[in-house]
Amino acid sequence: MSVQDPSPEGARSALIEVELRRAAVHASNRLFQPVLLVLAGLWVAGTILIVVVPSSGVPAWVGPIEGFVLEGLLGGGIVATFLLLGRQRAHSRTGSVLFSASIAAWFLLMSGIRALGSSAGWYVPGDPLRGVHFVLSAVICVAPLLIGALVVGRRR
Amino acid sequence: MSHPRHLLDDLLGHPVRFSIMALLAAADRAEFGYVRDQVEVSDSVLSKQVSALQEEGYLKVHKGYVNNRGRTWLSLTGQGRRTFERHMAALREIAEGNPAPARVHTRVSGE
Repeated sequence: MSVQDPSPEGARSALIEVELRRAAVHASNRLFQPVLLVLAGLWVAGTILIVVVPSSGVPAWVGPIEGFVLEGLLGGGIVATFLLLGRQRAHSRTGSVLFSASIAAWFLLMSGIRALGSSAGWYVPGDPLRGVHFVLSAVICVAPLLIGALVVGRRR
Repeated sequence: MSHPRHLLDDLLGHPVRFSIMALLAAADRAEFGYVRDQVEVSDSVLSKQVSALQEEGYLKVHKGYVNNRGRTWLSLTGQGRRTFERHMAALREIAEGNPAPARVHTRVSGE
């Protein structure tokens, strides 16, 4: 069966079908949203953990726990990211560009804040006052991930 | 050529092939099973039509593994996108009921 000479109605139906297919692909882009949110959440959680768990003057057994929890968070985040992305069955070019751009912006902002914080002397985990700066920096760093998640989730 | 139907691609006159192309035109790439479910055809029907489109150079088939499971991904080639855009331009002209020569849109996009 083929339609080589469609009527105007047939052509309009074909155009509507194209729009429906496009909407379906854009809907599948939404799986990028939880991936970005998981990364943002783990980054902030890891930073808070570094700040709240004292790094000195604690029993020897606390140190490894801090390390294990942090490694578990990061490792879990990476595994969760791959599992979620593995479940993605289709995505549009806009979706993948938005996702990549969010990750790239996150890394750029992180590098910038780290450089600025180190030169200013307030990017030091462990000190109670500076720890607040450390967490605030992490929250600012994940802004591109949150914005990316919002845009990917809203886009039709 | 006086009628836009002359710009229609013969291969895309088939409804299943048109649906596959319409889906992949919106996607960067899509998994075989996803296309099968969306187009609502069997594996064998999709395989046959994918082969026809692949032979014409309209789409590419990528094989890979996700979580140790084999996956097949489909995506349009540049030629496939251009052909689909041309086909769409002709359909728009026909839908508007305009018998004048169709405008050929050469925009190539993943959207």
